[in-house]
Amino acid sequence: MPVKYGRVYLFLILSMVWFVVVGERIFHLKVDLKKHYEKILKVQNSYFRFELARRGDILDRNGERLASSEKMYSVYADVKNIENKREVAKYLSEVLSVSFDDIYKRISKKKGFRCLKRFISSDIAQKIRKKKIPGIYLMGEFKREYPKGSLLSHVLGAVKFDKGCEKGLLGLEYEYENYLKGSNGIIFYKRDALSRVLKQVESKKPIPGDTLSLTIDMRLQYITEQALEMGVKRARAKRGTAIVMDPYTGEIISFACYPYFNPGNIRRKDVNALKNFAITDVFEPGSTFKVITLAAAFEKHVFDLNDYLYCGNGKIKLFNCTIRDHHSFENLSVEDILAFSSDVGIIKMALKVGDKTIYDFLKKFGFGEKTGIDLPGESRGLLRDYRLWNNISVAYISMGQGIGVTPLQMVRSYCAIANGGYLVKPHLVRKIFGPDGKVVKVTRIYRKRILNNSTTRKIKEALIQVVEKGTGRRASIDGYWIAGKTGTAEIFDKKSGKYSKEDYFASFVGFAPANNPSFVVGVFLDSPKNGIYGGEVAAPIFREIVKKYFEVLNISPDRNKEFKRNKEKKEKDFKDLIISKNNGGKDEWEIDSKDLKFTETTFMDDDISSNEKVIEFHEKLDPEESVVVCSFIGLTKRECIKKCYESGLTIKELRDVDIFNESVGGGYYENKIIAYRQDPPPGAIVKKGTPCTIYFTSRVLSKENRLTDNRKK
Amino acid sequence: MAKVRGFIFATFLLLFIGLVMVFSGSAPYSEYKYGSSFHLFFKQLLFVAISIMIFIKILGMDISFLNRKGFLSFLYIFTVILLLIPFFLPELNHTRRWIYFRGFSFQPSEFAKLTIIIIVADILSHIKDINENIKKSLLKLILPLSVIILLIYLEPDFGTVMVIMGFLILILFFKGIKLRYLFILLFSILLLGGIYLSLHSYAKKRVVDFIENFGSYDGSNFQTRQSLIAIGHSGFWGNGPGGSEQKLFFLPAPYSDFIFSLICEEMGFPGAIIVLLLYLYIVMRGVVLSMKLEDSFYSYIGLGICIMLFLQVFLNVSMTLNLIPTKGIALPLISMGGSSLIVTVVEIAILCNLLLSKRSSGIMVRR
Repeated sequence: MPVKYGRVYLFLILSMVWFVVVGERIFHLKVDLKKHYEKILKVQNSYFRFELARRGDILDRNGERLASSEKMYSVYADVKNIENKREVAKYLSEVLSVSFDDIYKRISKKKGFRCLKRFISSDIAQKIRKKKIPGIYLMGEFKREYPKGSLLSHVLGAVKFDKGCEKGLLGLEYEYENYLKGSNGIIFYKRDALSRVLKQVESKKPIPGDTLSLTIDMRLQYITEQALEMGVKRARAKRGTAIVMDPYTGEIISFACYPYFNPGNIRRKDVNALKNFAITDVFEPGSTFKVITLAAAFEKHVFDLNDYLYCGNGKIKLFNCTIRDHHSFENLSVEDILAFSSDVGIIKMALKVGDKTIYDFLKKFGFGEKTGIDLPGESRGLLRDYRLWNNISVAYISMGQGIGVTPLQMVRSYCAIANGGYLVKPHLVRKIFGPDGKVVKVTRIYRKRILNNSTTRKIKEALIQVVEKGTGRRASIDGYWIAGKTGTAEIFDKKSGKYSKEDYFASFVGFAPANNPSFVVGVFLDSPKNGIYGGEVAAPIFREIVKKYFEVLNISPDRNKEFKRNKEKKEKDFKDLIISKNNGGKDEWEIDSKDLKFTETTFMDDDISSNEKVIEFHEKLDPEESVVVCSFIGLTKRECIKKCYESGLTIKELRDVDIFNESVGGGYYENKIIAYRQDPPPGAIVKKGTPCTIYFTSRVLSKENRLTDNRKK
Repeated sequence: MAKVRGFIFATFLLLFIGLVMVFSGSAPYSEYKYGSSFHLFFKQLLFVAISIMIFIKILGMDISFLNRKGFLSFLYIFTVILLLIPFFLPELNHTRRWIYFRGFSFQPSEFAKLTIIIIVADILSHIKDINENIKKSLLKLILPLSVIILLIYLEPDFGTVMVIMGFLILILFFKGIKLRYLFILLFSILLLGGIYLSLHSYAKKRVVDFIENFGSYDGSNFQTRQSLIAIGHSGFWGNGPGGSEQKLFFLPAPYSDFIFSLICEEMGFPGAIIVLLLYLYIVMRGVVLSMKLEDSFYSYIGLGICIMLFLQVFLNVSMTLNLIPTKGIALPLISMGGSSLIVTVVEIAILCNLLLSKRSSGIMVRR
């Protein structure tokens, strides 16, 4: 026996054990860890390349292009592969219009990968591509272009480059990043360990971004910006903003913040201009804020339009604190308190109305809360709870000091007065289209009733008087009723802790035509030097904007000639109402309340409580021939026509606004077309057979406040 | 003949599997290096053909000359000369492992393994009881071998040195050496190994990496990592012949050292198990049959051949699975390379021959 059998058998057993161990391990790797290794394999043997997605366009409401991305190319050089460097540099310098030395210097190095020029057009890129120069590569990328230059800069915002992709930085570009960016395509290739690309495994096509359709009308935006820029320069103000909103829908028609910047080419010195202070900064609004007190007073029936108040000869003493008016007034009607912007008058009203009620109305008007506009960085404003107010807070707040609001909040609150008592949600994007042209999203119109129709009517009248005879006379336009309010606020200087004696915040907020407002315009100037009052510096800008709007939108005058003639005839009778612009003496502003210029009547409005007294601001009509316009809002076309003829009116036009038949995902879109606005407005007293224009939309009103729902209640 | 039919079948099956796998594994490299996917395959095909002819030739030969003094001396000197030749040739791949001529290369260390088996068999068959005069016996055994081992070490081919060491340990264990002596021997070998590692930092790093990542499923270095990916990702049934993804230059040498990973990847779990079972069949049957041979010289040769075969498979497969540190050891009969293939086939042919042989070498077991 040459060997020990036992030891050999031991060896054989151990080799069997080894076999079992190895078999188990192979099984474990193959079965249990398959997924793990597949993942590692995929990482190491796949190579992928992104295909950039084109960023979505931004269009105005008429389809004009405001921002779009163009495919551009960049020229790169892999230096070590270039054969004849001098020749290549010469050729490229001609084609790219870059100096020869510059290019030669970059490619004369031994090795490296360098960029020669970015953003060349596809024509030049084609030329270079055809030449097929070894070592010269083209890389596709997109460049954001803003064809309108600095127009609408604060709304559009800007993009930055982030890893070769455009990324929203400011404004709508930032807010709608997820819609605009689309999704990059990706192509996976299989590669071997020598980095040779073998075959395409899978690919995903790039999906271009969605297109935003804005509520902005570029024609009007241009007018607004022009007027604002001129106005700001004339007043030598630090900055200024003008916001124009559709009061019925909350659509922002134009939005300007001066100084402007060019979104396609932001320079270092633009840093301060980038701020959209119409929504980010908080101001003490001044007298424009008085309407809130008025609204509270009317809504709670504390005062009526024609109640008189003693205005203390221009001063009021409250708890050791004397507040002085800019003029001294004795007795003023509520209407005139607003018209002449009497601080003492409004303070007395506010004190009577009370802290809690004022606070409630501030809340109702949405102060101290974001308006919900689709722009980044919006401020809430500053509103303290009424329980934290001191004795004179309400006095200050009533005249628009001691509270912080954004210009946009101010404009929105005037929308509620213009549209008959609805708080709307301002928005800039009407619709979002997918790359295939289908509608992806439709912005809902939110509105919430906060005031009665009668209240807004009364405020409207007072606001008309501001322009007719009061502080806002510079805003008046021949042939139209204009409603508005001036504001001049002292700016609180943080450094000295006092109100500045030099810097004022001048503003004018108003709407036109007053009876059926097409738009609400707010003009705000920060620290004007050449004139400080809102009526002096802001009202002319308002006038400029509105006047041109009327031309562009072809809005016919609502003060008809007949009425004007009547006015002149009965000038003596109406001397208290219509005061010529030359006549500024306050002694003559005594008002005889019995001489009614208003038609008092009751009307049935579907959406507010019935039997309410509504004063309609119109010429006297024979009750036999006149008819109260009923509300068509929320009705379908068929219902509107039926109701219109039943009530003795005729149809002038049924205008479709924003009608689309595409189906939309998300479930909030109903393909139901309903009226949302009408001319003449509900409650107006007109002659029988007056033609009506009714505006229809398919954009659904927000659920809780949908008018059709209210009707059912 | 019936006794060795199994060996012949297993050997030929392994050769066939090897040929297929070499073709699959070498195709991308062949194409990249030589411009034709078949270049390395045809070379291998030629070696397989030659080795089959040699196999048949040896099977019918009288091998009793193996333990003649003259033959042994010739074999020994011939081997030493072969091992010395590369030292007079320019280096190839920074080593002196190959004797190369007109596109063909020969690895003398492969041949040295066979020489060692025969010489050790001869020496052991002349020792009655190894424990009786352990020093003298071991000196007798190690002195002639040390020249060969030193030359292989200087090439350097540490894988082969390890196989030879393992072979010596196992054959002495079978011979019946006292465990005490065996442990001393093992310890001195480990000591030598330690000295070797301290001298060669790359080898040390490999061992350290292996110890740090012991049992890791992500491998201890790039090579084992790729090997584990190849085995794991293809799943139970594998990708099918030619379907390997890892052979695209991820897996190092998928046609030689890491061919077992390729088998796992392409043939799946069943393929790998079949290959292992074929080896195990040859080894176990070979061991059981040769240890019962009357003639102790033949018995040691048979055992030596089986041990050598087993050790190579053991080291190669364990390395593939990250169970031992990486070392360049071919999988016998399957891996590409003429020297290893022919030597292994010759070994198996000798094994078959001596199992069939009625003749005796003249050295009978002395009880």
